[in-house]
Amino acid sequence: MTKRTPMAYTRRKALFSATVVAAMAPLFAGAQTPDTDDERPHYVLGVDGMACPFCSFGVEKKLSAIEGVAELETSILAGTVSVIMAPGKTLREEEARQAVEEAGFDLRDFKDISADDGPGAS
Amino acid sequence: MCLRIPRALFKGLSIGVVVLSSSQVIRAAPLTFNTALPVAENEFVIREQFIFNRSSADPSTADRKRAAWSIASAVGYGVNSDLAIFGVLPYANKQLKMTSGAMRVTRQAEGFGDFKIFGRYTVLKKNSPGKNFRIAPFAGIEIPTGANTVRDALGRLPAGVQPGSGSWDVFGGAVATYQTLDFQFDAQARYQANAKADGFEFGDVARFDGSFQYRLWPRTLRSGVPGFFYGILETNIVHKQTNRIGGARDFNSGGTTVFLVPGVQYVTKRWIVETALQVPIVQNLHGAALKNDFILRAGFRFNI
Repeated sequence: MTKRTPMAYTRRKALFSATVVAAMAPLFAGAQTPDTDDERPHYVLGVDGMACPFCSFGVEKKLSAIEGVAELETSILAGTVSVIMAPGKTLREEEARQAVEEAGFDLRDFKDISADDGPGAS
Repeated sequence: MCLRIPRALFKGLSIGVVVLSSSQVIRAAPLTFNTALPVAENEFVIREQFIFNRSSADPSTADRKRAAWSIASAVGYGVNSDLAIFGVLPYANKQLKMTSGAMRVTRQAEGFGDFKIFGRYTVLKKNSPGKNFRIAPFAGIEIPTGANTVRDALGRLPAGVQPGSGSWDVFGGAVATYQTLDFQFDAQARYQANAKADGFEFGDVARFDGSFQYRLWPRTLRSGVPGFFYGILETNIVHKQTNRIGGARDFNSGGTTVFLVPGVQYVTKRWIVETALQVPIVQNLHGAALKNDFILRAGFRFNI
């Protein structure tokens, strides 16, 4: 049988406290420092024909050439490219369509996620 | 000999590096022929492939053994998403060992081969979620940039050992690709009409190719863009007409060969490594035409 010493109890208590603080830190951090991603226009493009990693690279390369595009994230399974613009910049559907078609594929749909998340979004 | 091959390889790789430095975009394709997948507008595609080809089953008493390695550098440019222009330049070392009289002789040549340039236009395109289908005819010309009059102490080398053909040859055909997230199928029909140069004419070549690429890993796709590990099985049906020497047919040349080509390919967003072995399963060749043992291919591609 293991004998619990006061020192061991103190160490466990300190470890538990540290874990709780670490787990809750992002909540408080979020409250103090707004997530900049939420302030940036965010779009999700459905791309038809994208079926391999190289295809996705070609589409990303064309989209990244559009002025104001800050981040891209592709889901090859969903056939979507998530586009985050720099603050104050917007992505027009025709720009996105042209970039996708120049890569050899088709724009299936175009969603402005930041508009969906904004006030009054249903 | 032992010193020459590494030096030659270094030369070939240097050429590859030079070409690679101009590349921007590439995409997946079969190992033994082209694909109908698009080249993005104003973007470049590139492919480097090392090829080792050995033939030793000689039905004649000359006991010929032919070995050749080459590095083929291919660059493509997307004029728009439907029209692409490709250029292919090989650098090769070809060696032929044979018995001549009572002596065993080795004849070889090394250098750039003939430069191919061709255009491919997509006439049918259907994109849908996670899949696409394309048909694209192509046509081009093989320019005689390789030497075809190399000589050694025994005289002019046989045409099969020369780095180039010396002739302006035209070719054309069509390629189709059906690609899904799980597999890809490519098929090609191609014909090359060879012309005469310096009294020699290679026979025309007709070929039919098929490639099936199946994603072995990851078995289940999730979010993001993981690397794809493909198992590949290709087949090539190659028919060569007889060569002509001084206008007369060489009945010890030409014939039909069927290759079965197992291979693997690992594809990421930025690079590919791939290898395949072309194994002749049928060789119906004319007369004493030299039979092929195997062709080994290994290549890499980069997105820069």
